[in-house]
Amino acid sequence: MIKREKMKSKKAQIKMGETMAILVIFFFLLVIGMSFYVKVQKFSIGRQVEGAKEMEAIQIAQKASFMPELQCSFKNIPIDNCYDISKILFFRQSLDDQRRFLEYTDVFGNSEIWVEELYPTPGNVESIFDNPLPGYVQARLTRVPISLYNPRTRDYSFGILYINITSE
Amino acid sequence: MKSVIRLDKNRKAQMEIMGLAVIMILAVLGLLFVVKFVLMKPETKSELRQSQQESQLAANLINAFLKTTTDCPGKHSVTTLIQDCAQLSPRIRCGALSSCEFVNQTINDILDQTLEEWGKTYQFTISDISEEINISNGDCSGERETKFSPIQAAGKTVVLKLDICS
Repeated sequence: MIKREKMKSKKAQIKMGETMAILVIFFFLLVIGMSFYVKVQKFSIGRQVEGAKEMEAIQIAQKASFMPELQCSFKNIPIDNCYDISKILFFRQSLDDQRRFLEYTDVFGNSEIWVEELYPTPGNVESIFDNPLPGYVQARLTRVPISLYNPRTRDYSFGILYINITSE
Repeated sequence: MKSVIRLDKNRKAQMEIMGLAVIMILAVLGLLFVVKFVLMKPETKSELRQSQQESQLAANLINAFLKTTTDCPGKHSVTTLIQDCAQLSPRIRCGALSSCEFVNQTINDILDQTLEEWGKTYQFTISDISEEINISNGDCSGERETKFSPIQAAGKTVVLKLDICS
């Protein structure tokens, strides 16, 4: 009788041990799985945020390349891929008005936009919009070849429109 | 009898351990699957921005320099000089250089200051003119963005072609 009792007790202990081992392994796998899933999700969300920033950069670059305030026009017909230098200078001055500057901040965000003449007189740089994020970490630079029209001399020079979008 | 019961128990235990091992193997396979298809996706959005930029770069570059007023006496534009170069006997002289030589030099300067400085591989050609213009930088054998720009000149069509390669 006592032997049978002892044997039963041993069986029960073995069964308990088995169940505990299964539970330990199960929770171990669960924890590994969860931590891996969280890492993958974090990585995936990071990529989505990067993607959204890139799309925003493309949008801002497109808006800056086709600003009607700066485009060359003849008899009210706008000319693509051409900026009027006198309009650039006037636009720059108009941004001294804080309200106007804030309006354009809504459009261009934390970016820097400028043009640089390369031919025939290299080195002339005109800033169009200047609002970089202080202490920025990332910057996405877009370069657009552009014609620069001088209404006084009626000449076209070759330049580059730079759009630098800054972020944390 | 007792030994048969023990053997039976041993087999059961072995089967259970086998079951656990199979679960572990399935879990590892699942993890490898996730790593392959989630973490190693080929296309990223920064490539999208680059591809979008490059698709417009060739077109914007040609459109911009065609309008450019050159240093050539008479303030001729690049388009005018190309049209003159396309004639059987070009008439415009830019100092000591013919219109073809001057256009070649001007476009070369512009491409040096832009595409070459930005580390791009490119090939630029103007065909059907008295002195064919061919400017290139690097080996242009991979994928490319191409812009063709036709100009009417001397009763024919002169084609400018710019390939920006990646």
